[in-house]
Amino acid sequence: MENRFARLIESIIRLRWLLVAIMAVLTAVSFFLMKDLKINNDYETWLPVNDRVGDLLRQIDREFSSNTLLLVVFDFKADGVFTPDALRFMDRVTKEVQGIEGLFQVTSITNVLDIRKIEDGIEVANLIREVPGSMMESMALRDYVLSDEMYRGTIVSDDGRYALVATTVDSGFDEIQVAGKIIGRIDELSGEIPYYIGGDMSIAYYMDHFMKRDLTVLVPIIFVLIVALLSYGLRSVPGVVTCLTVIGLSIVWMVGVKSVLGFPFNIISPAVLVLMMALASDYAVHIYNRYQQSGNIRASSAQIATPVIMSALTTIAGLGTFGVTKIIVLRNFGIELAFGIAFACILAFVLVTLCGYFEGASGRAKAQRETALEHRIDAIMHRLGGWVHDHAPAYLLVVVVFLAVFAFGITKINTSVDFVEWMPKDSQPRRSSVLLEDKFNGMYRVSVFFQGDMEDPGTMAAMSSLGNYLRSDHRLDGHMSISDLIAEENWLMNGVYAVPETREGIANLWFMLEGQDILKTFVSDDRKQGLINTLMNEHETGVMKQISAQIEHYLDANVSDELVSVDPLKLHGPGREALEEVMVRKAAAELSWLATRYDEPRTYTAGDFGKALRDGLSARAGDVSMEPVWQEATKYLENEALEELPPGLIASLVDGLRKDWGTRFADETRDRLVGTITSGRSMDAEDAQATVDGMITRAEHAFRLQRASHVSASATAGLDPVLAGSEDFVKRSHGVVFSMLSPRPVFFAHEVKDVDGIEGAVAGTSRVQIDQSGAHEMFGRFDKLLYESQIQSFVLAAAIVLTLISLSERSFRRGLLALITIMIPLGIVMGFMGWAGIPLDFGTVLCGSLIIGLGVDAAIHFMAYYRRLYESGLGIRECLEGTTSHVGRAVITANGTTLLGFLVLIFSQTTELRNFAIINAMAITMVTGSVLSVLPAMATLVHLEDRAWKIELDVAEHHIVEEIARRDE
Amino acid sequence: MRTVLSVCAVVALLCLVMASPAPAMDGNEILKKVDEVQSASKDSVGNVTMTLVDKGGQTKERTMKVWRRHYKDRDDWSVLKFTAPADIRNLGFLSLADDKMYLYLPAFDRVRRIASHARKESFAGSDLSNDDLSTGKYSSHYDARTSKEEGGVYVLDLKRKPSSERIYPRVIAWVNKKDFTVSRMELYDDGNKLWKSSEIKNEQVQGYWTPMEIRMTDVTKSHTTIMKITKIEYDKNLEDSIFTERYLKRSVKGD
Repeated sequence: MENRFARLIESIIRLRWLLVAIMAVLTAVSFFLMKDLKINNDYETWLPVNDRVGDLLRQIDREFSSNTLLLVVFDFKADGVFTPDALRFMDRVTKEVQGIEGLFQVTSITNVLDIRKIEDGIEVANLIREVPGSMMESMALRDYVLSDEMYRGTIVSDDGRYALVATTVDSGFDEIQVAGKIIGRIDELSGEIPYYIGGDMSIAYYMDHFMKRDLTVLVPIIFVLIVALLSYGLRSVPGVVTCLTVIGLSIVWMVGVKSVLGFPFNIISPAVLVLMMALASDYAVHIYNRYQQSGNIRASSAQIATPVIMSALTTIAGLGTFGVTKIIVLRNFGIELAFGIAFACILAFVLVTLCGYFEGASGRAKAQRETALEHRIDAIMHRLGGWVHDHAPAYLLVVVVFLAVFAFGITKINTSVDFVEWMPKDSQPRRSSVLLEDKFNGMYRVSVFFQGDMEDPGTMAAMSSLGNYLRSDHRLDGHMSISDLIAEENWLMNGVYAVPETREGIANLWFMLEGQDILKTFVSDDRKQGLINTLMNEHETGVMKQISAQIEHYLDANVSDELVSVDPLKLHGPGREALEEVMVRKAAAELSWLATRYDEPRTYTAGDFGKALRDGLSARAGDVSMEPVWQEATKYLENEALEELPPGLIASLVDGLRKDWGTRFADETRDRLVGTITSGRSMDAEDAQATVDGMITRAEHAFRLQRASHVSASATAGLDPVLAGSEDFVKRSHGVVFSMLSPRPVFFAHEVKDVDGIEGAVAGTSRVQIDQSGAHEMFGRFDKLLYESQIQSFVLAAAIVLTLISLSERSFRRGLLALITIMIPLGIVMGFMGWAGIPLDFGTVLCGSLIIGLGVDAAIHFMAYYRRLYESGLGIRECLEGTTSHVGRAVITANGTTLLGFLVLIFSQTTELRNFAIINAMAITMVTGSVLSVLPAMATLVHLEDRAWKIELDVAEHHIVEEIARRDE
Repeated sequence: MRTVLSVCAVVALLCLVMASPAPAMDGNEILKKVDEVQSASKDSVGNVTMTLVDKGGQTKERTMKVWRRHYKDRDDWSVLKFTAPADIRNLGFLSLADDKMYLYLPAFDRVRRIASHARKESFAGSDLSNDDLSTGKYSSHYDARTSKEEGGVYVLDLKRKPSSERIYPRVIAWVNKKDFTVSRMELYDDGNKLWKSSEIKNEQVQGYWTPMEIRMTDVTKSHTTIMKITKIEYDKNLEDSIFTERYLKRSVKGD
């Protein structure tokens, strides 16, 4: 093998100018390719393509113009939001931010949608049409805003001190760039008013910001340290320059490949660059060191080729295992670093060979003398080797016990994908997350996604019901959907908080909302997709996983993809009873959710409402007051008939309706009432028919409202007075009961499939697909993928490294020993993570495979040198002493630069890189210690040498014997 | 001889006067002419198609029937009833003087008053606001200045009067010199940034100039609304009863 490398080195020298030219061209091309490099800290894109969660998130982002939020919270301190000055400020900020290109939607107190009752009508407009000019007007506004759950905690804090501006970005624009413009504008406008920036777009923006800070701070630090180390270690200007050139070119080529592969810069990129600077020098240092010792570049390069190449291959193998992870940013990390290491190895051979050649040609080459420090280190290592040999069994026992204790901590490892926690404590996202969760509804979105006909009453009803379910979870707030707005309009217009039961009703109410930009954040233009949007008021990964699991469980158990509307009159006996039982159960569940919502922290169950609802279903006309029904009929005839009717006629009609109330839907009844009108020649037959139909419809609606009031009052009679005093609970619960009394109730098909005779009672069907999406799903997915990535890359790295070493050493035993040497400290480090509460995150997940690849280098060097000494005829103790003293210094130096690289990352702005640094620094230190103590101990007990070595030794002896015999002849 | 010279001098002077251009009309005078042209008829009944085009090119079409009565001294009255699509058929708007507006929702058989604040709101999701559709006279709400003349067109710069509640503080209008029809408008927001632009095609029907097609674009949203008159009849002597809430409830017979 050495001969082959010797020929390769010779070729390098012979083709030196060609190689220089090739390197120059590759460098120029790499620089050219760098112009296409992008930065991307949008962590939504870190999920793989063809991933269910990632694909759904991206689909929602496209359809709803953006699903990322940038939230700005202004603190108006003691004076609060509700002063003319503060409101004028909010108005100005809103208008200024609205003008920013790329911004899709801006919502604040001044332009949030307001649906309110006015005289004889309702109004759909901005909350603030004109900024209040006086404190009295401001206080009136305050009372209005803080009494409405749509605004309280959503755009203004409960205490009226903070106001929020929510922005979303138009898809097709660079979100980070637009975020930068918004933040810049806010900064210009805010003056003395403190503000906080939050939301997932702010995290991506500040990741960008901290990534750039890390690059500008950490890279120079590591550069200076590397130069200092190289200067001390090599004590040769050509050597230092050569090593720095290797580092520089390998990084440039690595970045060129990065550009070709389309890998963007991201928050982990500073770690890549710092590690490259630390690792890339290793190979050049090894080769140059050997050259300095021997003074002969050809021989030294050939000799060191195998261990250096093995070292590079194992590191590449360790990094390359990230190629199989599904988390894109980790995959890119592994692949680009693997390329970088490969380039560093190749460049080390080429450039150090050429440097040595030119040095030799100029007569400058000279062997290095060791320093006193190096002598001392060698001596310590020498003693260590002997000590370990003498105490191997006891030492290994202690190590195993240590491992066992720490390894138990592995079961305690938690994951954390909370990107907010990556940011420095005093950063905007961290500070704002506390404020947003405390004073507002939080900053991470949870959505339920509907695909179907949004104008279908069944779909709307399902959305409304699911919205009530989500309300029962106190960790979710700020609910908004098209069904909420439609129900609100219906409440103000027709006295019931429920979605209309006809397509025309929905279309009519939707008409009044048209043109409102906010609709696009939760319903698509073609009305085939809709969202229920809420915010989570906590951001811990564990909580997000819980919410995801709960919603998943609910959807699995209660939702199917077909909705049916049923005509209960077509059912009889058991079928009718079964259907009513389903209706009661559904309504009871919804009431329990609403009660849980509005009577925090108590929890209610369906059983708390079931009986009252059952009784209510069987209520008849005599059980409710009919006076409001007749009044409504009278009012209709007085004000809304197609022609003005004389009072006497109006009284007759109402009287007729009263008498025939039980048969009001019968044709005879209607004909009789029509005849009453036409006989008085007040209007023609067609108009009379329309008038009678309108009167009966209006009376029926009033009757149903009365029944709903009666039932919901009795259903909530025994409950906590808090609920009776909650306007929102009363309004919503009334709507639930009203819907329960529908003549055409809607169900998911599976809910009624067992109802006797249901097939004949189905009045209509529609299809809908319901899924959950949002930050909680994304983080849950990252969480799962982190575990998978860790295990996959760990196992793969171990297998590849084991295979490589076994093949090169031609011994599975030696391969296994090398791997065990690395795995022991890794097990201790991972266990330490569990005990110390350091989570498995995007930084620490890189530890295992990286350290396997890096750490096994030392074991390879150890075994190579041990073999050399063994072949020279030394005993095992002497071999171990010699190996630890010789390899020890080299390993400490090599792993020392790697350790230095990790330690520099401790100065990173982000927690994730600091965790990465700490854990990897611990690991590489312990691996170094393990190679210099555990491996020698195992070598003492298990023996590294084997028959292959003995055979070769025998062959070597045989050659020596033959040679001696020839000389004698 | 002296007489001949005097006559020649007078003729020369007359020619000089006739050759020099007529003094430009005052902007407000032009605007009044525009109002007169737009309100020339007594009343009208027409069918209109409204097409909404979003920035992706997707379209949504609605048709409606419109009754209008023109007044010289106050805002016009109008009734608008949708005829298609089916889910908003018979939905109607009634607009009277003094900002009285009413909406009829046929699904609920209810007429509801719309607040005057709603003038700024989009009409039926289009790029026209309720204000755009209101039939007030420009001259009542704007002061006009002729900023320039381009060929056969006056370019008027309109500034909102302090007493007016119109939503556009500034409008630039291109007015045809021959017939005082408006062919183009630019509508500006409170920050004097261009908000909407419209192109208008005018034709004569029954001798009255009619905006047969209005293409209004909201430049901030890249969204366009195209209003096309498909049929119109003038001076039908519409009865007062048409402009009432009760009439608003009647089913429309589209043709």
